[in-house]
Amino acid sequence: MTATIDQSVTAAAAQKPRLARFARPLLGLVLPLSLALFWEIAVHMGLSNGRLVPPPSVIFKTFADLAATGELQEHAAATLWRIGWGFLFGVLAGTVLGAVAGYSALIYRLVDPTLQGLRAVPSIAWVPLFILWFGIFEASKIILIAVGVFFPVYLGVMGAVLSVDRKIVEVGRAFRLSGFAMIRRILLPAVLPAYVLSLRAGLGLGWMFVLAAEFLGASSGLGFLLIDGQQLGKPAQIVAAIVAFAILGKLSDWLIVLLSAPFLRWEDVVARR
Amino acid sequence: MLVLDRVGKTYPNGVRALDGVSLEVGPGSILAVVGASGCGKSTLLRAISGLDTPTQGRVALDGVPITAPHEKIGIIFQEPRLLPWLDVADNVGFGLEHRPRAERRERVALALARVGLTDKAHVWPRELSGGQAQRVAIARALVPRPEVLLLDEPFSALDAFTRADLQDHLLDLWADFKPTLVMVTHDVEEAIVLADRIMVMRAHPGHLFAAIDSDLPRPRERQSAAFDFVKRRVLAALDRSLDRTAVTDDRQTKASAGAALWW
Repeated sequence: MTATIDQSVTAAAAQKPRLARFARPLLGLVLPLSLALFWEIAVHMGLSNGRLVPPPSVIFKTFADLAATGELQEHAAATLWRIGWGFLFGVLAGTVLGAVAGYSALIYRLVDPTLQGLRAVPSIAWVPLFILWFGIFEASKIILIAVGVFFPVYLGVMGAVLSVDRKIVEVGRAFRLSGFAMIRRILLPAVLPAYVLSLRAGLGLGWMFVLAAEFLGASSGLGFLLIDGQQLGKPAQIVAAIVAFAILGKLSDWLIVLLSAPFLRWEDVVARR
Repeated sequence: MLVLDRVGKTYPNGVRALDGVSLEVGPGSILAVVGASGCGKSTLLRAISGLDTPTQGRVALDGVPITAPHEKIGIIFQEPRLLPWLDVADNVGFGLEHRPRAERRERVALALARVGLTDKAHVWPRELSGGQAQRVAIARALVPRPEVLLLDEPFSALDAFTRADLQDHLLDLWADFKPTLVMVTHDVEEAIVLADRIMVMRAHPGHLFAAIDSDLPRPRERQSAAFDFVKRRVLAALDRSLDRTAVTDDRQTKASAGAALWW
């Protein structure tokens, strides 16, 4: 009797992961899809005219129309171009300053208080100054995004360098690693997981700031589409732009995860659930 | 020949951790250092390794002064300290980076076979048990073929079975090319199973208090009378190092020997 129970238990255990692999992500779709469906039906039945809150079909049509005219791609490209450069500069500055501040106590004391002070400034507050300094075109937008990306990357890198396990560094010393070899073989791999996290946090802020930058006087970009939709009373266009933001944001984050995955395979053992 | 000449260490905060430690360890011999917590055992080991430099005296290996980590000196820590981002084989080969790839692969495979972990070569350190991880650490330290291998309480975090198993493993590996072993331990039985000479240290400041030579035949039988005799001598020296009255009565000795896992 125990044998039969055991068998059924193992069979269930073998079935479970396969089922769970598909079922779990799908579970997350239940709520948004049923809400969308509900609203679609409600509008169709005439319970609402759907003008201010367009039903999914209208949003999809707007999205498709914008894509067909090439408008969507053009605006998305403008936004991606800005965030690409802003992210690059922010990451470069954040990495370099974070690394030296984490490595050298002297530089930390010199630089960190100022940077923490600047971090406390809501970054949008820089906009008027940046416009005066760098003009109303791309430069000021890219710099604003770079500022947004800089702080999480700086903090992440500095924290990661500071928290490298001394015992592991000692292993490096026992094997007579110094300078560049120590950085390449011990420090870099040790900070990588935290670095990737800080890049993702930085990119998230980058997406917030690109929108802020585009709100403040742009004639292109997804942020412009939003403003345009508001001023011309086209809520479907607004939602379409929001959807585009969501897709691009998720894709860019996924890209970081994908590119870093080969270097972080050793972490998977714990992360895998 | 590893020579320590009046080695002393005073920390910047004024604590004298070591004072006037002189000793010679011949090639291929095994020295165990025992003593109460805080008697400077680990400081001594770190001074020999070159990870810390002594403030007085000097350490020399074959006449060459040791002031920084040296390629002929390997060290095994209390924790395995494997690099989590390298698989087991790459961890073992960590000290062979400058060697040709073929030689590296061959020596790593050999070392893994010697510690019985061939099937774990491409596993991440996280997936190993404590004993397996420490075996990898032993292989990593031995693969560059050091002349001196330092061990800082290497088995103290392991359960009794694993510990005995690893002691046998260590002796096996030692027999391959007979490096000098200097081992710090809390465990008197471990010291007697492994060592040719057992040094008892005493604190404030850390210095050598007694040396007990043991020429028990290998492999050593823990239940033998000769083993018991050496153990009693070491325990008596430890007791004296702690300013406890020397135990002479045989029955009392038995009782304190019951606390052979002495810390």
